[in-house]
Amino acid sequence: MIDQQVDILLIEDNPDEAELAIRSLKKSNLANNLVHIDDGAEALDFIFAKGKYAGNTAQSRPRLILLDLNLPKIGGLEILKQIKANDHTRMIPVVVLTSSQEQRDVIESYKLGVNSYIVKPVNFESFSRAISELKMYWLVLNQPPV
Amino acid sequence: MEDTQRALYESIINYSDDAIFSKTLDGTITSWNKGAEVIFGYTSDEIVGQNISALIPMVRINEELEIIGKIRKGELVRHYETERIRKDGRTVNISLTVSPLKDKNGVINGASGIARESEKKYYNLFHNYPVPTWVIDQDTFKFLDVNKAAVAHYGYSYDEFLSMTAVDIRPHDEKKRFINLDRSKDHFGARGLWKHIRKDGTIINVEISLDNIIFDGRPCSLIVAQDITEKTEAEDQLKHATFRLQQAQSIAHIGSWELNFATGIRVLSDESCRIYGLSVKENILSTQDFLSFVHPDDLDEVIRNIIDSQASFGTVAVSYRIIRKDGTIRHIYSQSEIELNAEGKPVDQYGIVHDVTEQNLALEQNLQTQQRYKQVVENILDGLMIDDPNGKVLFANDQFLKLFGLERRDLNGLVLEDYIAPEFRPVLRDRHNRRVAGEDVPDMFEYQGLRKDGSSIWLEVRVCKVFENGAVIGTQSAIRDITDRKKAEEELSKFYQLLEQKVKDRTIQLEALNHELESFSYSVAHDLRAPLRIINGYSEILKKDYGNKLDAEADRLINVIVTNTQRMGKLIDEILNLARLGRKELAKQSTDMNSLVRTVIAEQLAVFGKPVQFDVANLPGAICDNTLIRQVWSNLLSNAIKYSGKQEHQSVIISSSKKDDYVVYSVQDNGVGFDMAYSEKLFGVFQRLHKQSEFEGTGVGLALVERIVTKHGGKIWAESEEGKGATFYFSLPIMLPA
Repeated sequence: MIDQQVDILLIEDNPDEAELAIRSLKKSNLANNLVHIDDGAEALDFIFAKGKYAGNTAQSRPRLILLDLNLPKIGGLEILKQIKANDHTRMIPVVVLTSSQEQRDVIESYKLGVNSYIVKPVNFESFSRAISELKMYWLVLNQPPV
Repeated sequence: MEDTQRALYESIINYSDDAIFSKTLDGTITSWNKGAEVIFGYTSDEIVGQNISALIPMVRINEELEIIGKIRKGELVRHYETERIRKDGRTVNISLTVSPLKDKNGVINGASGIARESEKKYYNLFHNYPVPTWVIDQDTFKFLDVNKAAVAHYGYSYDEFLSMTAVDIRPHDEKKRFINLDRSKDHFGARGLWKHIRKDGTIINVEISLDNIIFDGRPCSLIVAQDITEKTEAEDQLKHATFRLQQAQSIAHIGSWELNFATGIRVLSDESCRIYGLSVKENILSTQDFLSFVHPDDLDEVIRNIIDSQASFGTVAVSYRIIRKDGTIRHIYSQSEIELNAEGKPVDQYGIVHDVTEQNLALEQNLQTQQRYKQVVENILDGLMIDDPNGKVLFANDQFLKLFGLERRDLNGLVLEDYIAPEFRPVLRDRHNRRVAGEDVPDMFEYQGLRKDGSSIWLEVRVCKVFENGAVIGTQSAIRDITDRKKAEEELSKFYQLLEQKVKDRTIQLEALNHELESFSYSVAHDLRAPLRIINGYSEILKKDYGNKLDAEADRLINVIVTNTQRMGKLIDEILNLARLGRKELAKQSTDMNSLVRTVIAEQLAVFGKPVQFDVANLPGAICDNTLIRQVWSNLLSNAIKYSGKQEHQSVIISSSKKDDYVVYSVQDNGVGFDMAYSEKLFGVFQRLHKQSEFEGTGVGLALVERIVTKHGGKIWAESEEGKGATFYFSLPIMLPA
């Protein structure tokens, strides 16, 4: 059960990838309350306060969701779909963060209402810079509806 | 005495056979005896008080006036030959004697007449004899009497004749002959043929018969003049007709002959002689002679015909060949009739012979032609059949019978429909009915036929109408066994079905493969790049976080790792591009090549960061997928910049030309160039002509460019020499905007 403010929910099954991402995210000290979930089903439970996250308060809803597409059990696109289909979660910015450049993934994501689609660069420096920038953009510059 | 005398006279008068009557001068009949009643048919009661004119024919009224005239003068009219009309209307010829009657004072007050039907027969015979006949005075040649036929035939009236002599009716040249005749013994010299001239001037030929008679007590000639002009002409005509007959015979090659049974002699006409190859003088043949001409093979037939003809008395005909003396063979048709005598016995045989050699030969040829047709019909591979409007088979050739396994005797009353599989019958029946109604119906049809043994065959039939006098009287069918062809078609059809199934199966397999490939590409994109990024990421972290604890060599090793992960990342990107291109449909649109190239140059210069001299000609536009063509330009221009990078002054020239139906674009640089010996390797995947240490590259770029151009229906090639720069060309087909 989480009742504190969650800044970023990172949904990524590969722990090494996740570590690189978290490392980049933490470079800036802003909004450091980050939750990492490596399983699609669990991610949905967290977002919709179900299962072991049944006690989650509205406050625990993340301000930004970073979503990998290639996930076991429930894929990233399915998670995106459910988020955007629900009135309570629809407003949460979701950024797809993936290795896939496939057009159909890009198109499908946008159709479901993704807020950004980022292809992770192989070069770590570029990757790290991209992560910092998107965090800055969505959590600081962007004005979400109140 | 007077009374006695009177009674006697009365008695004589009453019982006389002569008609005795009296009349006043104005013609009123005052007495009428029994004889008059007999001759004229009127009784005394009927006629007394009537006028005498009732008895006189209209033409003889003047006669009566003359007679009365003489009577008034006291003259006697004696033996006047005339005619009167009986009560029953018949004309009666009489010899009339009229004498005046006087009163007591001697004044003539009437007339008595005695009429006798005297010499009536001879008179009639003379006057009604149908041949012109007359009597002439042998001394004066004056006509004393002429009959009606003479009047009618010569045109002179009776009175005119009596005013003429026999000399007058002769034309000039015969007058002398007539007058000069020796009449010293008799007058018979005037018999024979003479020419007479008629009143209208025409001259006629007459045959004169003559006898000496005494007429009115004078020596006279009784002349019968038979006009033989027409006879002469008829003879002429006969001669002419005979000639014409001969001519006709000659033209028609028809001759005639007569056979006398008593003598056995056969007389041939001129044409018959010619037909038999004889001279006209050899026209008399004995039966033996005749038979010697007949072809030995036909001799029996001819002899039989001769016997038959004498027995049958009717018209008989025979055809035979003769062999002429010169050996030529002619075909003869002969027809003859028997003439019987009064006792009904055959006397003569009349016949014609017709040379029919040419006709026979023509006929033979015709038969040969027919025979040939028959052979064609019988030997043709198709079954041929003619049927009537009801579908009843009228004719069929052997092949037809073979097709259906029929015997010829099965044809009797056979209807084709019975030998057609039931499902085809309605269509064929409908077409047959419409065809015989005169409609145009498709003439080809394939159907399944039933053989007599019940087995089925595939048949192809071609039908046409059979006309007679413009009306359709049936149809003619040519039927062909196409069972083998049908089998082949069926097999072919099965084969096609199989093939189609195989294609479908393959397509499904291919689709599955494609799907797998996509999954594979996806995996490559997603799953291969992730570990690379991790290797790269952790190497970087190692360098940054532990940089001060590593020596220079360790630092270099980490750099090698980082560089290679980056190169591999790029490689993966390009391979994915290449793979994606295969699946992508071209989105062609009209593209402004000048603006496209300008954009690409700007991009490349921005990436490169060094000045390069670009010379760009005016480029024609093209219909193409401009995203992909943009990639082509990017690759070619970045290559040009890259490979000329070591030149002090970099120069790239972009131009175009038209070749056939293609626009050819070219990119020329002043770089290192390449050895043309390896030009084939230029566009292969992962093929490179330069070391990685000289020029960075994955070996995928030009392969991708080649795919794009080929996909557009164009070509790509390059020309170069080592150290002297390179020129890359690519062509695109010129297409009209859709």
